[in-house]
Amino acid sequence: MRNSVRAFALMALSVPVLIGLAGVAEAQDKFKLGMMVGGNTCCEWMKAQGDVARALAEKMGWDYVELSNNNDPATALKNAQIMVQEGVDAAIQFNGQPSTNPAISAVMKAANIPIVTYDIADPGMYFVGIDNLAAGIAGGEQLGKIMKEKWNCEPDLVISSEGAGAGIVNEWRTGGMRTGVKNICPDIPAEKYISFEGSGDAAVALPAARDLLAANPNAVKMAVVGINDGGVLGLINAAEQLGRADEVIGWGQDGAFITGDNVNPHLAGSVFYFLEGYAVYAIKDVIGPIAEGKEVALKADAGDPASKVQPCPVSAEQAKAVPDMPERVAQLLAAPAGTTEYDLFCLNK
Amino acid sequence: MSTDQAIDATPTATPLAVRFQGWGTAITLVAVWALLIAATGLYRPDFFAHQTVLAIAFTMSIVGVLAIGQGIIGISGGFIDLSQPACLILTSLIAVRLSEAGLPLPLVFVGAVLVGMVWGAFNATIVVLAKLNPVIVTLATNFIGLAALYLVFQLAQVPNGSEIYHMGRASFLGLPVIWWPMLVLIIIVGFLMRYTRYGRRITAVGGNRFAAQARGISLKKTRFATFMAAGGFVGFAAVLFASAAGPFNPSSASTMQLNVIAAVILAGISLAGGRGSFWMLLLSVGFLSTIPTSLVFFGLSSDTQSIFQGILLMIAVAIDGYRARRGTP
Amino acid sequence: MSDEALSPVLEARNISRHFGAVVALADASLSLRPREVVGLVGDNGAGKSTLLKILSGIVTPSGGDIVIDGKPVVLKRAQDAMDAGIETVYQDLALVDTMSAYQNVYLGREELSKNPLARLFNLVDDRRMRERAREVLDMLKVKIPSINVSVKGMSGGQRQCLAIARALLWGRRIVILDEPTAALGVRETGQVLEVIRDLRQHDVSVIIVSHNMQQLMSVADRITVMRLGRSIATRTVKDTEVSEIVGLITGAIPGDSPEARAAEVAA
Repeated sequence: MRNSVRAFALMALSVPVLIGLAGVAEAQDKFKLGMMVGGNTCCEWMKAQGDVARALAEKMGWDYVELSNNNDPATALKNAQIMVQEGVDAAIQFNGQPSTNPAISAVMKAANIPIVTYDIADPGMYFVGIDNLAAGIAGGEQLGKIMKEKWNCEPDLVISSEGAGAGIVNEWRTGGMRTGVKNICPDIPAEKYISFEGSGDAAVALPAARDLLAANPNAVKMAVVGINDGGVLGLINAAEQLGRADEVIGWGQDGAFITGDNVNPHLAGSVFYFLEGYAVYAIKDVIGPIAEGKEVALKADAGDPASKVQPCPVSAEQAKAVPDMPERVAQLLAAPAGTTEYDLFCLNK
Repeated sequence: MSTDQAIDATPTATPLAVRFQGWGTAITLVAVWALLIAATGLYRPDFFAHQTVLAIAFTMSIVGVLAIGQGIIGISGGFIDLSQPACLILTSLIAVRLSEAGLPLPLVFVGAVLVGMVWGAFNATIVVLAKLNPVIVTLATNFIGLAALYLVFQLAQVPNGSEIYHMGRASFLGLPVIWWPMLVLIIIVGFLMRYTRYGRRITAVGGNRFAAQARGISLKKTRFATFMAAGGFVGFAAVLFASAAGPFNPSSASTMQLNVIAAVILAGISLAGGRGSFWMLLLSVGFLSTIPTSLVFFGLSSDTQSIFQGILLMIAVAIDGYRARRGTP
Repeated sequence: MSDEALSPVLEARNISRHFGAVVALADASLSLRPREVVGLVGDNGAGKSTLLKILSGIVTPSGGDIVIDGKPVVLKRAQDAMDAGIETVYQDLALVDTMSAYQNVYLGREELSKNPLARLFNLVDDRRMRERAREVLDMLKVKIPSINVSVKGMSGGQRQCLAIARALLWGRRIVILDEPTAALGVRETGQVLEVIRDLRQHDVSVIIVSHNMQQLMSVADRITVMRLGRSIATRTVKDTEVSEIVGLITGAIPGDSPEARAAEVAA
């Protein structure tokens, strides 16, 4: 059944490919961008990443092909092969299931097609992604400012809600937040900094957070940082349950819980990445120059990326002023070429 | 050969182990729990504090109610319900949606419990119709359920400041509000399983389903009843979970599974079926919930608890196997 | 010991059973009078176990009639047989190991509490069940360590006696025993046989399948012999010898004519 569907799809696909080949002579000079979106139905921003890339490609006068990875590694690899058949000149992917990334790299390299990958690095791909360390530091500095103002930089504890499973990203974000706090409040003694594992999930972090609070019964003024909003909220919720939330101040990452009607009053702020608008960076720093015929050096390391996405720290108050995603996308596409969402919406530059 | 009725004429004295049957588990659990508390308290006297009690009691609440459901499946010979995480998240989502719609708390409970029972009935239908091992079936439904839930939502949380939100943070008589229903449920279920026809028959099906069937007890009906009851308890636990957990995603409940199973085994409820007292869950859940808190007081990172829990689970399974061979009820 | 004058409690007439083209039972008849113990013998594959399964409602017959107390009955399920007063005791499947003796005896028929409120919640009356179980076990002179301990530790004989006692407690009038002493030692066998004899005094009739001829001769009133799917002869124990029964089983002695068997059943 599935095979026959595949065979049919391939046949159906081959028709436009053949027609396309016939038209190659005319379309030769038209640049063609391929986009492979993540395709995890969990997240609206994955779809939006494709919408933004399509709109920008049209603005540039390029041809555009979009495929969905369906959040499946095998599909992602198959998509790369289809992109080669389609004869794209450059490709962008977000592959949330990166196990086939090396194979995808090899396929694209063999066809001599440059490929940009978002947020998850591969040695054969241009890396475009959030500057996690900068995101951490920026959030930490904002929290540090509040601590300085309210507590004269004398908290009882600075608590890190780690997500060790995320590896270096956790170190960049959570460690970066501690660095940011230290930038503003350099004299907080080292023993005031304590960590617990929260897996970046509020519900999973909750019991561990309660234990941490119980083991530090005298702490009142507590600042909380973490790998994401969820991890930070885990500690805030635990403090509420143990009746000790009065002077807890948290600052998160990723902005998942800083918008909407349901913002916890102890979550003072977070850091926006504007994931849907990555295509601006990819086109500005990688695809655009390639389309103009320039050589772009392959920068594949997340620490030294081809293009750094600028993170934006936002306080809970400021977050209310940031439009929701469809509105942001509309404004982004109306702005002049090269404008990023950071430029448009970030109040804390 | 036939008429010597004097066989075994001397009535066998009731062995000590028999007279104290069932007490062994309780005494062991109380002893290790007390030892753990004493050791932690010696190392860190501030362990003996209301904050510690609160932390442990909060952890007990949800695990305890889930363990009732798991125990019912175990004692009835269904081994384990591996679909608890998916069912918990599904019913938590129901609880969130119902409270978002402004329904009063009792109706939120009713809604979540009913959906949990439907989930249980779904499991039971597959087990009965396809004549498959419940472990395999629930493994599959958990898989399917979680995948489907990812399609439906990424994050959910009860509205800030709502009735249910306050329930997850409030205390009553010095203990979490959500701890009390766990206590009451365990006491009631322990009583029902011990002293009612239902309890007897569920236990009998777990002990020897052929013998039970030969006595006119329907295996199918028992499967439906136990899976639906277990699902109902997961639904109840889900309201407690949703009230306390803050924002959760489809995978938020996965880490609870091992803890719940360990609690059931430590309580002496045989996964092979037919044996166990639900009252012991109070002790096993209490003991297991104290471990991570103690570890933190000892200065160990809370993620080392997985190692301890793994070791404990192995010990518990070994004890369970030993009990099964000995046949102590 | 049995009352030959009384009409039979159970009659199976010309029972047959086919599994597709395979004939498991060609033509079997059996009668059981009140307070009688009938032995059922035959070589392996003679059709004994199929006949037993039909009488306990596990297998439905392809043809023939079953009459209990003069009334024809249809046994479609195990429950039908139990409702008709037939209790079948299997060697291995009888008891739940993890439960105590009295719980096993009352399994599936637990006595409810007298208190109306407790009844509402289906609460059982353990005290009464213990008392009654003890009474019945005493009546049959069954010795077990305690009715409160799990039956797992009990001997095969004790378990067998418990299962038989259960039939009595539940008011069954016909008990079918399938190889009740197969795995038992000499003393235990004696205990079980004694319990079987005692059943008679409590108005219970017994069908017993066994390979042990000596044993059957000591406990049964009559013996029905099966061969190749047919009941070929029935003998009164006091008028026969082991050698005759063995001869009938092996075919060395021919079975009775159909007419003679019909007369026997009718009697």
